[in-house]
Amino acid sequence: MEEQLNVMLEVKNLAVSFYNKSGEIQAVRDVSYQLKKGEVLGIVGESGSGKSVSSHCILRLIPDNGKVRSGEILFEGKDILKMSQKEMQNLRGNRISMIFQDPMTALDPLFTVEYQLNESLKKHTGMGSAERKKRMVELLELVGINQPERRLKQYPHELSGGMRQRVMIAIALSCSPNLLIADEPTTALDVTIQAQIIDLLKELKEKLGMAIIFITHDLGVVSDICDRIIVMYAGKIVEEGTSREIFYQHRHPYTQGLLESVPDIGKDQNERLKPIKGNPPDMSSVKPGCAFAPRCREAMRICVREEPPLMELSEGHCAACWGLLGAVEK
Amino acid sequence: MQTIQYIIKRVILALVSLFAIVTMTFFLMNLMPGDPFMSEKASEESRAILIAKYGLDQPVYVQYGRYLKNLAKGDMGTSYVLQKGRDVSQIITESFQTSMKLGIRALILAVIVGIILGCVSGLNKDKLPDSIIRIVTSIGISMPGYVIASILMLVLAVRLGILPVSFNRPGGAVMPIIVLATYPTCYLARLTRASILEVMNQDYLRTERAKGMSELVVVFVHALKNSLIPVITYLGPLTASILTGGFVAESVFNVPGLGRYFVSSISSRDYTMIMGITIFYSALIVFMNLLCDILYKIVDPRIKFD
Ligand SMILES: Nc1ncnc2c1ncn2[C@@H]1O[C@H](COP(=O)(O)OP(=O)(O)OP(=O)(O)O)[C@@H](O)[C@H]1O
Ligand SMILES: [Mg+2]
Repeated sequence: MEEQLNVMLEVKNLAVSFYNKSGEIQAVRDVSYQLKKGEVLGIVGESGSGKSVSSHCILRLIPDNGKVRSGEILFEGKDILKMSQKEMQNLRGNRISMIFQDPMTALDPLFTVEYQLNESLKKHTGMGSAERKKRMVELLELVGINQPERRLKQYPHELSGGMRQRVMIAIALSCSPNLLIADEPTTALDVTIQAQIIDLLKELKEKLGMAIIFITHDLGVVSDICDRIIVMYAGKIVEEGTSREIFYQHRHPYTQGLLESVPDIGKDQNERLKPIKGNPPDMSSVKPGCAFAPRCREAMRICVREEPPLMELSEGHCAACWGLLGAVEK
Repeated sequence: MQTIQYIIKRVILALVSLFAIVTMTFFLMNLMPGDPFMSEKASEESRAILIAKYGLDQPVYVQYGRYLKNLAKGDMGTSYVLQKGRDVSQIITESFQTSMKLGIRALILAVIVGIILGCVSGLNKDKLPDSIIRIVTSIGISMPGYVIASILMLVLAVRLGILPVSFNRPGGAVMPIIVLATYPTCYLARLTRASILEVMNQDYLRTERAKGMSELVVVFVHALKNSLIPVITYLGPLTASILTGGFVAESVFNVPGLGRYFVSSISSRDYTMIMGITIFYSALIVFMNLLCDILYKIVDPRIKFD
């Protein structure tokens, strides 16, 4: 009961498809997870595994040709998918906000930082203009931008990529959201800037205590920021657990493969990186069986015939793999 | 400071190109067979006297030198044929007022209607309004001005009789304005549509939505402003097109404007008029382009004055 009260976001059986001329693309297939207050959840997986689509759904920001086929997204008990346009607009950028992958294109080139920051403050807070100005300066300082007054007057093209991502974070934090969705916020940045942004997010999480959904295809990036991690493959969750469990007690061969393809994580520095062989499946024709089976080193006959369910290995640690059947039954 | 430097540079550049235009026109004009007095019912003798009087018997380069000297003093000479003896600059000022009244109204009409049609079309991509607008605009773009003028005349003036044929009657300006505005309206509509379609997919609009901005703000503040940038660059050439469109509209509807004078000055070899109007048109176009560039740079902060 106590547990239930702490749950802030609950995604239940979410399925999303895109429709184009060649037919249906099942981008997200039956995804469910929970997020507690103040928790940092990592979502990892290769490109195309449905990380972005599943989390953009939380703000109902998927492209026009996409459709939520089934499921519920309960935010503080209320189904986001059933909200009116108005309710949705009051939620976005206010209670739940989002930062995106490419800071170079995420800001409107024709408006100053101040204008774009001011927009959401004006929309969601009752602050007067002087108060807003003060808040904007504070926000830029919070995200580590010096000379905030000068920066406010600048246009996006006058800022570096890292700086723009900081501005994006400032915009996202402007109304003190309860949940921040960060969709690969560092992928487009170079390595040193990446580390700075991750550190900033960690620091902000400590300071502000909001929940974060952190999306990445690079497990190395999320190792020490996330409390729990979801591993996605072909639109499904294949393993879910605490950071510890995913890094040290993972049970799914795909998680294993992902970890082996990350540079920093392997204990033995001399060990060569092993990218997972083969390509993710084509999502427009879903075959029976486990989607990972064709690339799996441990695939058995049942794996190509029937889809493995998500099995609970210990409390909160689940994986979907037929190879675990024995372990679960014991 | 940068802005002023930029403008000075552009003005100098404009003067150089104007000079080139004046020179080319002057020599090409003299290559045309005939002379201003060819249609005079005068004897060979009196024609020769007239030609000598205006110095047209001298070598072309001498005439050119004299023209430049007078031009530098602001003197464009007097008309030889069309309004014999009147100052060219005076005729231009007078007739341009008529042209401008038509042109500005056509320009405003084209910009407003064109941008609205473009938005409607782009925001309803592949739906019925889009299809209709695309068909209509492609017809409007490909139809020559005199065809549009004739159809309007036939339908509105002759058949239905709701508008007068004569320009001087009340409502007489309506048809010339429509003829002038048709091409730019259609072109602007297509340009705006293409531009809106491109902008609608941009990441920053998703950011705006993620901030909780209403669709109204997303489309009419952010998408529209961004998609108008290519439209602004077209406004310079658009002015030129309305002016050249004026040649047809003014001739067909008998409007005493600059366009009509230009056409008739060429056929009657009214040398000073040809030169005067050419200089005036060129200067106007160069100036409009400059104005447009400045506007463009004001709207788009990424463009620097350099
Ligand atoms: N607008 C769209 N139209 C059609 N298919 C789409 C569209 N957007 C996404 N998809 C498909 O949905 C699937 C999931 O895409 P998604 O963007 O969620 O992947 P991702 O895990 O975020 O990958 P990445 O790491 O590349 O961002 C992919 O197969 C993709 O091709
Ligand atoms: Mg993505």
